[in-house]
Amino acid sequence: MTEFEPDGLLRDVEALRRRARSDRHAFRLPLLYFGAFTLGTAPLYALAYAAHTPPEDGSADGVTTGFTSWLLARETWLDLVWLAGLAAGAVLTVWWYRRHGDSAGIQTSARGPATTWAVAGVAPLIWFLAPLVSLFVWFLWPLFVRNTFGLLALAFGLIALARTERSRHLWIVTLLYTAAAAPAVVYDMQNMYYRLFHLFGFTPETMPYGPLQGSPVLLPGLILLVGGLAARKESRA
Amino acid sequence: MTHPTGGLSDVVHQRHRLGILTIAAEATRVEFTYLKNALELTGGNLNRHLAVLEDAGMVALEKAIEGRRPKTWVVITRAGRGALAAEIAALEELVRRHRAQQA
Repeated sequence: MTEFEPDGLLRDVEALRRRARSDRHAFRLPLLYFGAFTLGTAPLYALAYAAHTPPEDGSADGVTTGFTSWLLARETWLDLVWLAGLAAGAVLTVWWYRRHGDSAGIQTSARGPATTWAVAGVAPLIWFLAPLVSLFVWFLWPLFVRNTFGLLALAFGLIALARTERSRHLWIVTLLYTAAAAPAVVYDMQNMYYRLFHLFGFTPETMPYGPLQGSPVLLPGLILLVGGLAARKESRA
Repeated sequence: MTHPTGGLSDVVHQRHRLGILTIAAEATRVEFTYLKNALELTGGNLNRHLAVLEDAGMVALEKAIEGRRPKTWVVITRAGRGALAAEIAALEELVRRHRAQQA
């Protein structure tokens, strides 16, 4: 029996589509970078916690003065670190996609996700940069109060990247990441870890409160790292 | 109701031109050599198909010198995307009718 021509054409179209999609995928590097960056912010949360904890000898905190004190008091510097990391990731992603496209011969624009990372990264600073605007979005404060909004900004960009890439692998990583990141933005995830540590015999006196302040970013960061490592290496990049 | 063959365009229906549009629709732009390899065409053949698609306003060609090598990038236009979508829809409808008749 001869093949019905439209059937064969549609099969060819699907095969070409799959090949083109696979050849242009280049999300491994952004996932690895953002995974490493997210994990890298964990010690900074411990640092911010330490800056707020009075010394045990009862003496006045003499470490922070002037501008440093202003930054530490508001923990704005954590948002600035996130903004810098997101902006660097955006530039890296655009450069990487361009490089990969040039060498593979099939190009995808990463400008959409890059713009999303940069714009969303600025959002926590709106309270300082544009106080008047913040009056109209005051109800969003729960998203910013923990200085973990960067996790959500990263998720927005990843969603934009997954839409551009049309990759099932990237969608799965993005959804898992977002599911892990969103609670860390609106809830003190440290409480979960306190309970977990309590099960292993830690008491309020022995609990490592400082190091655990970075725990909200651990799971999201790990998901990105594992997702990046599991992604197929771009063959021609 | 019109027959789905009415939705088939002579420009797009040719197997290789359909392939060019399919690949170009997946990317921001695609390079000449990539298309040549993916579709297993000679340079001359691919040039002829690209000329037909360009004349129909379905793709735009961007020529650039990268390093010391000239490169031709193919970008699908809005008309090209529309024509590809119409072609795929017509083919799917034909397959659906064919299967209904066979059943």
